[in-house]
Amino acid sequence: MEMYQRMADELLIACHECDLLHIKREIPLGGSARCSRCGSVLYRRPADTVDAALALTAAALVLFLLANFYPFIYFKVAGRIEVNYLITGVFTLNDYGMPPLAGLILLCSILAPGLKIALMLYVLVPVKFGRTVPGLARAFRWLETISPWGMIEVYMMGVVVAIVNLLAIASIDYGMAFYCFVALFFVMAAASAKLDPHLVWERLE
Amino acid sequence: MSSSSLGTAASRSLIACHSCGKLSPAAEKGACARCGADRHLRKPMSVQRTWALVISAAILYIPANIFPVMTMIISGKGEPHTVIGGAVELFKAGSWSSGFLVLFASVTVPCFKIVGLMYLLLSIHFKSLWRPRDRTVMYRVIEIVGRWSMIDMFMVSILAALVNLGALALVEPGPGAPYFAAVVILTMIAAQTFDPRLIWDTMEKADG
Repeated sequence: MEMYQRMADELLIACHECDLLHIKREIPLGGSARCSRCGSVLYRRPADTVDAALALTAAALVLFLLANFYPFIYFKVAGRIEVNYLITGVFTLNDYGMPPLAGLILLCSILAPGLKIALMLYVLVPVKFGRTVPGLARAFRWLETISPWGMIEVYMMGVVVAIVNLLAIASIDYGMAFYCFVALFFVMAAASAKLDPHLVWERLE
Repeated sequence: MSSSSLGTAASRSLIACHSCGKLSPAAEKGACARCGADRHLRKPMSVQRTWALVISAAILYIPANIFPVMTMIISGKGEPHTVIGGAVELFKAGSWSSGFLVLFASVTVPCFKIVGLMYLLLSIHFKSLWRPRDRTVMYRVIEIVGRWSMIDMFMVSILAALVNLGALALVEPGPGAPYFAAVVILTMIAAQTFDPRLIWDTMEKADG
């Protein structure tokens, strides 16, 4: 039993989708190991890990703040210019008596992406400098929970469809926040790609 | 299909943590030593919870499509649109790509998720041995593609915020919108409560 446990800790990994055990092997830089039975990714070895992920997350923080505090879209109709911010839709839906829907939009477009950036910084800064802070493991666990609810790329497509709907009646100008939001998506995607959760878990141990 | 000689973690009485993947003996008590998550051999009550969520989503999908998700009034003229009606309007206006995008995100994706999860649950119930690898891929697609159903909700929120000029032009969210949002939330949680390892547990038992 004890022998199994030590083996399990150091040598083995179970596929998270079909539970098959595999012996961990060294893989080439930039490669990934897949389950021999169901084909899901077991672990990856990104070319550069914590440093790159940390740099990208810091950039994401700046973009996130700009995306929230600068105008998102200018709406021009009949000689009037309306300024809209990222959060305007949340307040509007709330005013129409739909607070749960407003809350969901707030979660997916602002809270989850913001929390994701904050948690990544909270985990990556100590990992980078070899320190420990309280609740490090819990923060990284929450990161996995919150991730599916951050929907920056879906929101962007929502903006596109909304604008197509308005082409006939008004003209639209994109604000600074819109470009920051688009950049935020690419930066966050790159940061996630640079990070293999298993590597962080091993360092946290 | 070559099975590794090691077998599954469960067959060796090992639990792989849902959260961080750390292996630990099933006999051990308490939370995961590495990340602090509760340890379970399989996601708890996976089949029951997923059924409950998927059936709820299927029921709510009906009012989500019957009731309008928004009303667009321009210069006093306009009428309520359902999700599909909104896509039809986009087609009429000649925006084929946006029309297809809305149809795909609001009709294809939720239906595929609901029917797909029901199929996976039934295949587990009837101990199907048919193409487990393809069923796992199907689950992976359901998990990844689900978030895209939110496009229509984001569109309504953006339009309601932008077009808010009183008598001149106004977009009002309709009663269908909260139902539609509920369908997206329920199917996303259903994909998370489903445990794809159950597909393979049947194979294990069949192998002996």
